[in-house]
Parts: sequence; C-alpha cells; structure tokens
Amino acid sequence: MAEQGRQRTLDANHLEPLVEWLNTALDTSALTLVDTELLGGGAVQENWRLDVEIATGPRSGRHIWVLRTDAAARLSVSLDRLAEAYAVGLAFEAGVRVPEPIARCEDASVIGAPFVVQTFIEGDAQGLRLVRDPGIADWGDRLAGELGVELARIHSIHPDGASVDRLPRPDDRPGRAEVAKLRRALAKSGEPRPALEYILVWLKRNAPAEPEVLSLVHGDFRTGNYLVSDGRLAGILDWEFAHWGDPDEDLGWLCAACWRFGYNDRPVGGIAQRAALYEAYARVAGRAVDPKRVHYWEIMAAARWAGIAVLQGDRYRTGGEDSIELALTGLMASELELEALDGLATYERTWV
Amino acid sequence: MRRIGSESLLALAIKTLRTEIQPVLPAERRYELAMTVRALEIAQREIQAESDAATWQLLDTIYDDGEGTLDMLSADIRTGKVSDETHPELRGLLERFLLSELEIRNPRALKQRPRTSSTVQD
Repeated sequence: MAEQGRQRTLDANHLEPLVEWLNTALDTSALTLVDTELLGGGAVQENWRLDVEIATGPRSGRHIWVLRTDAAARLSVSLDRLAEAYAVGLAFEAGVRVPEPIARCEDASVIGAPFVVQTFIEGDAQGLRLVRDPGIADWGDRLAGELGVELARIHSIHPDGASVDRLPRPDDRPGRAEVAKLRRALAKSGEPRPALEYILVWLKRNAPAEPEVLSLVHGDFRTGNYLVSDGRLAGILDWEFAHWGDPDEDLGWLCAACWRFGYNDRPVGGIAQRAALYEAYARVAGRAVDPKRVHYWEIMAAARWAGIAVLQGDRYRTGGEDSIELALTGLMASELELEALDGLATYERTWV
Repeated sequence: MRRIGSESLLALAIKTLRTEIQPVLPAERRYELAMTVRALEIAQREIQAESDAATWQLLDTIYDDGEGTLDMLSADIRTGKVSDETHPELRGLLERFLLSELEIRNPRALKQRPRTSSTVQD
C-alpha cells in the first residue's frame, strides 16, 4: 500500500557497508551479497531478504537470510530490534521454532539503525490466505497442536537475575500492568472513548492473580505471525512485543475473536478448535490451561487492539499523516470495544 | 428527477470506482481502492444517518443538565465518578452507543456479531 516512496532504513543502492560489516562479524572475507529484496514488514519494522554467498570457510555456500531493522515509525511500545533479537535468542535456545540468529549489529552507522540477521524460513504467514485454505479441515487442529507445543516451550522460559531486566516486565499483576500501559499510551489521545474506559476499569478490577512465576510471553502470538508450509508450522515470527508476563496472555491473544479473520467457528486463530491447542499445550507445559484466565486475556486482546486503533487514528487526527488507512483504522475502535463488551458480559455469565 | 447533491455524488463516485476503475487497476493498487471505496461508503452512511440519538441518550441519561460531553464521560468513567454502581444502565447505554457508531462505520461487523455472545466453550 503506502510502501512506494516510503523512506527505507537500508539503502539497497549502497550495500557496501553492510557487506563489510557482515564479513567482519562472521570472520570471513568471502561473503558477497547476491541479491536483496524488501519483504513486507508493516509500519514498525523493515525486513530484507538477503541472498548471500560465502566462498570459503565453515559457512561456505549459498544462504538466504533476513535482515531486520527498525522502520522510521516504530511504535513506542514495541521492542527495538536488538531487544527483540534477545527474546528470539532465548526462544531458539529453548528449542522453539524460530529463525536462527546469525548476527546482530548495535552500530547504527552501518545501515542507519541497529539490525539483526537471521535465517530465512520458507512458509506463508498471510493470515487471510491461511484461514481460507480449503485444506484447513484436514490440518487445522494439527497446526493448532503444534502452536500449543511451541507456546508451551516459550512459556517454559523464565527470567533470572541476568535476564529479568533485558525485557519489559510488569510492576503489578500482569492484567493491571497491561491496563496501566494502555492508559499511558492513550493519555495523549484527544479522542474520547467512554466504552474503552469502561472496559479498562473492568479489566483492572477483574485482573487474575499473578502467575506463580513470570514467563517469556511472545506478546503478538496470532495467525499472521507464524509461518505455515504444507499445513505444518514452520516458524514463529515477530517478537517485537515480547516481555516477561502471564503466559495466558499469549493463549488469549491467539484465541481472541479479533484475530479469527471472521471465522468464529474456529476460535484458535481462525484455524481450529480450542481442544487441539489446549491439549497439546498442557502436555508440554505440564499444566492444564485455565479457560477463565484465557477468557480474561481474550477480552484484554480486544481492548488492546481498540487502543492501538485509537492511536493509529490519532496519527491522522493530530499527527498530520494523510493516510486513509490510518483514518479507517481509527474507526475500528468501535467494533473492538463492542467485542470486549460482549466478552466481559460472557465472562460474567460463565465464571461469576 | 434526481437531485445532484452530496448523497447522489457519493453514490456515483462509489459506483464509478467499482465498475470503471477497479477492473482496470493493477493488482497492487486494489487495496488502496478498496479503502477509498470504504471511506466513501462511511461518509455516505454518515450523511444518511438521521441523528446522533444514541450519543444524546447516553449523555443525557448520565448528565441530566444537558451539558455532558463524551470527553467528560470518558474522564468520569476513568476516575470512577460514573460507574455501574452510580448508573446501572451504563453498560447498556455504551453498547447502544457503539452499535450506532457501527451502523455507520462498519455495518458488516454488526451482522457478524454472534447472536448469543460466545462462551469460552466455543
């Protein structure tokens, strides 16, 4: 959409500094860049496919890597690339299906911003295409099971003295901390949303108890952020919202109505039934999924998305960005707030 | 006789974009066109909407002096000055307010809303 003409961090016509840096970082002089291609990255990140050839040494051969760096309009609540790379590194070490880290550069002078390089995973992450795939009846539940296994592995990672300050963590019950974070982000908005305020009051009041121990939380684990190849999970992407927190947040986000692409009969990301996800998760995590806690986080997902919609709309309303997409996104707050209101009514009928 | 005014012009613009422009547009520009049509349709529904009845009902129920605003209501809910305890009808009013917004912004979302709110066992 607005990709044409947008200023890029990496200058594809001036790649010599990147090649020089890669050679140094990988302790070789035999690396050449055969081709580059801008990949879809959204508004906050910039991803490039790198076709690399290394003539000699232990990594000799042809490689396909991905360079990830920050776009100009990075959301204030997302991690920078290096923090994200830290989370991906933790996940990789725990056996989670993520791209293998290759190199990381903290020096912004090389390409204009810090960046990381990781392996390229073949697959399709396009959510709408996935949920409409005619084969989903055959492999949807199996895929949900694979997602459950990966989530359980992610949530098996807990902070210690060395890692606890490397990623954001809540200073209160995770639910209350998330409400506070949303309120801080919305404080500058001039757009009054009384329904969202009501929902945030409810979410604060009904926040579940802290988990016994904080876990690594992906923070954006949903259909559209994992790669699928031939109906099988190929990799988990987009760790820019990773943090220490309540693992049920990830389960809630994955199952939230707003991330089903309209396929409400398949509550797990528009692809499968809950049992397939929950059973696989419980088997690996060693604990049963608490559906009440997941329900809470599904409501939080709708509220969080409504807040993001308001902030995106503000980029048009007061930020001077003449983007029809931003304006329309701003209007989405209504349907997300209604989803949250419906969710909390159902929660009260079911659990209270 | 058809009047040439905001409603008819919007209807014509939407029709022209769909029937004349969309078929000849390169695939990579179709998303922008879809958003443009959507924006025009929202404007069309806004013009056709009869009133802000749900907004006034919400504000006039909470603020009986007729001086309420959405900014005020948002702040009062945030601080607890207005709540389910002070106004038991608050949630229902907010729901009706959102439904009226969605009739303009995205009527399709209303059609997709579950008839009975989904349970955790869905």
